[in-house]
Amino acid sequence: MSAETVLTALLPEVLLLAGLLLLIGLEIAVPRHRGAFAVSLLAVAAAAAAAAWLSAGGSSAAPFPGHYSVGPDTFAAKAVVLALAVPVLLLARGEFPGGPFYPLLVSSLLGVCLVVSADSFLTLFLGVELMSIPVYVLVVLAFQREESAEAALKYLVLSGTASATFLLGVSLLYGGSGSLALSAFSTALGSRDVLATAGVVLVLSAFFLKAAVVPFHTWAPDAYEAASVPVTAYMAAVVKAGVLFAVLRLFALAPAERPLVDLLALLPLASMVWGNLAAMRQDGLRRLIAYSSIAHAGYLFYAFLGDGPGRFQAVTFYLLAYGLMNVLVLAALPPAGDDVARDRLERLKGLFQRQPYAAWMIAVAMLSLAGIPPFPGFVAKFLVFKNVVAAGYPVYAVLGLVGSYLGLYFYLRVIQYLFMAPPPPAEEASAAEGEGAPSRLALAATVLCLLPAILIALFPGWVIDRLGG
Amino acid sequence: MTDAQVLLTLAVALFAIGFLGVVVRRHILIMLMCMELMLNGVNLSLVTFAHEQGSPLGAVLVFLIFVVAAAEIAIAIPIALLLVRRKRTVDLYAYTDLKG
Repeated sequence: MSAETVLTALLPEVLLLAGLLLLIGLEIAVPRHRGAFAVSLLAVAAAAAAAAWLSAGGSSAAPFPGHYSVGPDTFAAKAVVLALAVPVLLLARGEFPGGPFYPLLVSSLLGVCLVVSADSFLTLFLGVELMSIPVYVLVVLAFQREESAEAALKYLVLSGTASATFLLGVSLLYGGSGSLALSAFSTALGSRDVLATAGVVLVLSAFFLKAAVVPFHTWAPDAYEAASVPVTAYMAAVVKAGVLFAVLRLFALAPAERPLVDLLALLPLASMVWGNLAAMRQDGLRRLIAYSSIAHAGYLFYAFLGDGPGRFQAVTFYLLAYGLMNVLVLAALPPAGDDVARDRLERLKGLFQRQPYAAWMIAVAMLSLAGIPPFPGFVAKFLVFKNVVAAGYPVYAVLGLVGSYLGLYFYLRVIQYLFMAPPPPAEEASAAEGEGAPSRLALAATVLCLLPAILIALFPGWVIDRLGG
Repeated sequence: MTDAQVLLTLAVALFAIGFLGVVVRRHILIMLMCMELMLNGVNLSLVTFAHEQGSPLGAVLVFLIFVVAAAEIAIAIPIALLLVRRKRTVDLYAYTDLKG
């Protein structure tokens, strides 16, 4: 295979790597430089454009046979993830004028790209770790809150335990099949061998933990709350997407079989119900987003009950709709002097009177996350549940729908705060005082989320076709 | 029991001790050590399987695990330091600002 084909197949990664090296070089050569934001934005946007272009061109190749391969669907997945990172970067400009934020974010994105194209457990493991290790540092980076270090440590220990569990599962699969190819997982799915089944269960529970599915979810609310806003957006949209793409690569086209189906249905179901119930009790927006993301991890894993080809489309579409809406909420959240105060739900009371645009954006995102019909979240949920019914599990589909309607309450409560509740007069002055208008970059980020969201709400079929499968 | 079975039992035992330690103990350093113990259990099982099958792939993964474990600890220790400076203790029970 010529160097040119390899470079084309790796173009998104090469662009990210070039950006990363440039960032590190700048950091060394020019102290207190201001170029980090521009360089990383350029690298990520160029990589996203390259991935979208290669996906549209339908090119596929295997630059490292058996370890790494690309096709139109993997390029589409990379384009989705990288495009979600662009508004996150715009949000970060205000909070991190320079410094280590940008190299860490770009290297984590490189990890996500590696995960999406992994063909062997070696590449998958490296990709997952390259994706998550920078995020531990990102959580602790802002250090505006006392709890940041504690949350980062919790995340690190639990995520490290998940990695060890994943590796034990891989080792058992390797012992049974003698290969580290990802296909060892999909063949083990159908086997009755005890060792293979144990390996599959260990690998799955590791990914349940990384995606924050009940009962492995405890790290998520803490980490989401303690991280600064752009990092929360990154974890909710991009890291979750990376984990789900890893599971997609693992399952490939293999159907889920009987003993495993119950595990794949019951834990996500518990996750939907518990995530939605616990979200009702929250009074901080980021904890609310965290619990809503736990519930959404449940819907996403539900998609794996469906058959192979539909699964990729359903999960990619869901991740796109869900990621855009999460970033939109956090981008529209009005800034405040104090990070803890910025988070409180009471501050959203009567926001419509003060900042109608921000209020509308948050309302649109909440309705979409709840899955109300004209919004993109509805189509995404519809695709998932349609596949579950088509695969012959109507009972699980009905239970899942009931679980998802539990979520309506707290999404609508936010909307009620925005539009109907007037701010209490005593607090009005103080609320307005700390609250600034969103910066121009944050507005640009909301537009970048809103335009694709409108596109996928108006032409879901066209978008689903582009995502391949 | 054959040698391989003894080694695999040892590997699973190491992993289980490490897992228990992470779940039960609340001393930051012991939790980190238990994480390493889990990874070492995995390493032992990978090496055993690689030897049984005569393929080097498992051993390659062991080297990658070394690298990643080192990176993880390199990040964990500074975070632990930040925490200890603030609270003057390594007991995680003292850190209850956050509740899952």
